[in-house]
Amino acid sequence: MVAKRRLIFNNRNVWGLKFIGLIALIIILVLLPLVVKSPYHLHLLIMVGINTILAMSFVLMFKTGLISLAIAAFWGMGAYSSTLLVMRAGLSFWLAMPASAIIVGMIAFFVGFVVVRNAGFGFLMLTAVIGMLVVTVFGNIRWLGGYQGIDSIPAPDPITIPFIGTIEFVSKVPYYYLILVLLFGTTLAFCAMYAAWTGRAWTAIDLKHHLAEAVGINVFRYRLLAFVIAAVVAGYTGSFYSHYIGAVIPGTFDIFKTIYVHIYAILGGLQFAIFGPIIGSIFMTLIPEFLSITQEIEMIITGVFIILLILLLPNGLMSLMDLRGKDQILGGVLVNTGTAIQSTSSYLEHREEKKVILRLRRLSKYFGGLVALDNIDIDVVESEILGVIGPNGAGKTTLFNVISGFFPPNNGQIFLDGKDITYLKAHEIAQLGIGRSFQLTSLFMSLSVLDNVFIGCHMNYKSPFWKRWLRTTSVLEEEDSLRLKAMEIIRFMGLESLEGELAKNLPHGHQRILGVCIALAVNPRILLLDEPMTGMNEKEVETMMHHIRRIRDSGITIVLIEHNIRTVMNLCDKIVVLNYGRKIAEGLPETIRKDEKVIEAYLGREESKRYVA
Amino acid sequence: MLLEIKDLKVHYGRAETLKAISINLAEGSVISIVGANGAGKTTILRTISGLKRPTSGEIRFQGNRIDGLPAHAIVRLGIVQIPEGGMIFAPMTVLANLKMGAYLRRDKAQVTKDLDSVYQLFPILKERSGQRAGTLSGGEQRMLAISRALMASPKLLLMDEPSMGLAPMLVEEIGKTIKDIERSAFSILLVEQNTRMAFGLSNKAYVLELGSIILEGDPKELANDERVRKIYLGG
Amino acid sequence: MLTLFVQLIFDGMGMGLIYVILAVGLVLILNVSKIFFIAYGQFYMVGAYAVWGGSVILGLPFIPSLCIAVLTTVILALMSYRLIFHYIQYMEKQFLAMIVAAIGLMMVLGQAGLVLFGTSPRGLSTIFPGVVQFAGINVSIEKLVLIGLALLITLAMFFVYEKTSIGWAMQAVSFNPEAASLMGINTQRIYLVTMGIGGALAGFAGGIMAPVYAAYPEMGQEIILSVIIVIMLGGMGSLVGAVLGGIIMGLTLSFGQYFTGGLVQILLFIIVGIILLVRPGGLLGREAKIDL
Repeated sequence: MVAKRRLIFNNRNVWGLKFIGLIALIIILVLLPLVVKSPYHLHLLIMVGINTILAMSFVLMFKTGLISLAIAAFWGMGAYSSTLLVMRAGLSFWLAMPASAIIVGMIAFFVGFVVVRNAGFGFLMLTAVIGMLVVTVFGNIRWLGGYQGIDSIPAPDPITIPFIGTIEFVSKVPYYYLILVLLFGTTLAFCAMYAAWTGRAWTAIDLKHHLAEAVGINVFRYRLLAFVIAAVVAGYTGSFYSHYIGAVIPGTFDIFKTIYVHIYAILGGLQFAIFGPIIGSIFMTLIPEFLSITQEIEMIITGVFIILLILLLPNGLMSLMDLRGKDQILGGVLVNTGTAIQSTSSYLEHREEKKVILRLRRLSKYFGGLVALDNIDIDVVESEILGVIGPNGAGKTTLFNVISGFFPPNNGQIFLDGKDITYLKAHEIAQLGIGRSFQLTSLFMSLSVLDNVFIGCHMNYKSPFWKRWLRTTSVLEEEDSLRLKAMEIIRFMGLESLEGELAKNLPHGHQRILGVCIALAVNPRILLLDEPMTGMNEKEVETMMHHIRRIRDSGITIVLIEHNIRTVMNLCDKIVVLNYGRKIAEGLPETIRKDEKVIEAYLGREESKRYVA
Repeated sequence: MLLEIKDLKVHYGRAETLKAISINLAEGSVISIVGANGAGKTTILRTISGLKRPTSGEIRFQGNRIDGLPAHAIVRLGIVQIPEGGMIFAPMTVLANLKMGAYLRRDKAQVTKDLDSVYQLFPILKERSGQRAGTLSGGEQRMLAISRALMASPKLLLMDEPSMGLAPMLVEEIGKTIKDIERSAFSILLVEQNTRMAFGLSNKAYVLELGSIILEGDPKELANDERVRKIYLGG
Repeated sequence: MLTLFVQLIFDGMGMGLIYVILAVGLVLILNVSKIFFIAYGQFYMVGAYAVWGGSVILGLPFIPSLCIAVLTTVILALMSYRLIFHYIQYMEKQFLAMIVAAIGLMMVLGQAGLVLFGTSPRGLSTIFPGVVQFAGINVSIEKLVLIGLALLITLAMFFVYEKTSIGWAMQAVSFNPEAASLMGINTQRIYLVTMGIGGALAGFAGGIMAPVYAAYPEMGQEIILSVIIVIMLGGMGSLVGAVLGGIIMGLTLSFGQYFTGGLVQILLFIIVGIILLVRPGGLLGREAKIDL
């Protein structure tokens, strides 16, 4: 069963307005210059347009979990490069704009390559440096005009549009329409991206990036993509700006401008990637006009206004509209996520016997002076349940982190099916079929159960990048089949009645089960479960044990870290005991239970006695 | 009665986490509250300690109402909590952590004596007294958390899941430690998921399920109850 | 050659100490009160203007004017906290809300300064006239006194933070406010105290700068970026880092200005960028815990 083709514009619930409302809005915007005659007011509207696009650029980065302080810097780069292309290289504006966008994109690619690698905080600091650096660079280079900047930038060449005639850029009106076109185009493009799988990947990265990594999403690549797109968007806006104003000075593009852009987006409402920036820019650009009594007081009043707004409406102006409802999703762009579709096929066709062996040889990991893993040798046999136990700090989770690619080992090797996977990154390991759950409940909390597993199916998504944004039929079909697959997994683990429930509202035990569901979504051959039963009561533990057995019966090998001794003894075919990073025992449960070293290091006399019976 | 909780209701957002519970704790006793995750055990302690405002109901300590008081005032009254996971200050030294426990105290001489007692109870802490608390192992950090609370010279000690996340051997040790402490001059309110351990340590127990108390009484008798055996003790 | 060297070091240390004081204040506010207080520079400006006001308008000697300045900034800081930031602490997206509020405050104070005092700088006549010979260079006594005061205040701050019970309470709150309140620490009061101390430090710094460099409206906005760079350099979680960063900043500017002129800023940014790439936490710091 295939869902009907869901184009953005056909979706009745886009942006919270009905389709008719959207048309009306566009008509109003197009006809506005007939009503608004004053050049100053037109200027304000144009500035709103510019600020909106910049704010959307900021929100794009924000949606991947990063706060960028370099927005105005790229804006400035676009402005300057376009100016130079026109004035020094003699290009027409209409060539210079896309050219400068590409130039900025390339700069962003190289800069981003270095900067995006860093975690959120490092990224913040580095983009702050870029934001501050750019003004200084512009100001100190002679042929960029120094701190005086460049003026007498020519207006765009007249263009001829069929059915409309030749447009000359003399008054402000043509500029208004141009920015409107840019804004509209940017909005469409962003809608397409957000609604596509790319947007879901971004959301996943934003919500919990290590979980995204563990389901095979290349976090770095997606963030770099967002970084470049955000820069390109700021770039062509800069190009527009310089030819509109007719002059550029470095001071315009300082880091305070970036922070003001942040404010537009925040006050608009960060939940909404499209409408938040629009509303925020409108308000922040226009309200000071209406409030100011004198020129001097204007800033004070704006400042007070900003403070009041953030205190009263911390979620932004859009929070005034009640847009809750089933159709609101991921990323804050209102796109229908689709309702439950009846599944007819079974997820667990019996798997063919394949040789799946995980082999760890002399695996070591140090953190500074601390030895976390010391020469670990382990063989995992296909379809077995291997238990890993040991005291806190023994290195169990580190072992998982190294196997699943979150940390590289200092020494030793890991073989999957004979293939050396030692230094592969987390998303690559996921793609090879090793799934994992985390010790601390790691879910996409603000998404539903179904969406959590749906995103987990990331790796099964085969449509190429560019097709996704066009939302072709094959793309939509693929998404539907992934949704089916997600539902089967949910059914398999017994969560089908909670499908639409938000992950954060689930009771703890169910959250842990959901974590295992997500791990199953990567089609694992090996499942690494890190203390799946933490915080569960006896009844829930029984259920989880039951599920683990069923997973194993379907052909998946399981490696299990657990503190619940009864579980480990009853469930595991073989047990490995770690202490201080070393393997101190290995064998069948009965053997381990009686092993002196294990009792001394970990079980304690009481516990070991209890399980002898 | 040292501590009386009457018809306490607590909401997180719109969810009613505690549904009119009542608990009595006599001076010198050790009371445990057991239940699964999400039952509301931590909420009870947070509310007593002033970290969470109740929606309605009363909490009385030594006869006086304390519900609604800010957290630091509750500590001043002698109610000290060891929160879940211990919450020690990782960048500070072991000694500094212990001193923080005694933050409100003015009696320097007694504080020094208490420090010595703590070192006797946990010699490993004395050994590591100059080390940053973050470098201690999980079990040692838990010991530090307990000691830090003891340094406050509490009248009522609240313990939030002392065994959580610890290996079985350490759970045994913590259990023994609590038994040792019990001989001292204060009362203990213990919240635990490890029902067996909790029953072994307390002279009265409450079973909390989804925000309501479903059973209360002598742990030895409760251990024989069908429901308790099946759900909490694993049959 | 040596005299040049000494002169540059002296000037660098002088500038550096101002950055140190401001960085220490901002780091405290950042770590203890968890406020990304970008409006901090404006308090520096307020301090400078207050000293000018005290000296020129009220005709008071320097020290009382300085006291008035510090008092003014403390009150302003406490008010800002109580009226604005206090409420933001309970919000979900704290970090961003803080930035917005701080910008708003920055606008208000900045413009107010402009409106009240006009655009031309307000200078003070030299308070401690005279010059002294030291290692072959001429050093104004005024600068010497001011450097001395700055050093004293910095040392006093360290003493308070490391050795007094309120300092420990501030540390505890910076690590874990909930755990701190379970120790009996009144976290609200600590937030206020920290804001007060921060405000005092900024007012003090502005106050001792006024005689040397005059008070002008943009001084707040200009200096805050440098202070943020200092903190990034030294590590956002570290007091000692703030000191280190401030001194490095001062010396770099001093030497850089002389040898490379305007390009010193670019140089600075590049150095900072490289350091951050290698050690994102800054030279000494743990990263500040920012809840995005």
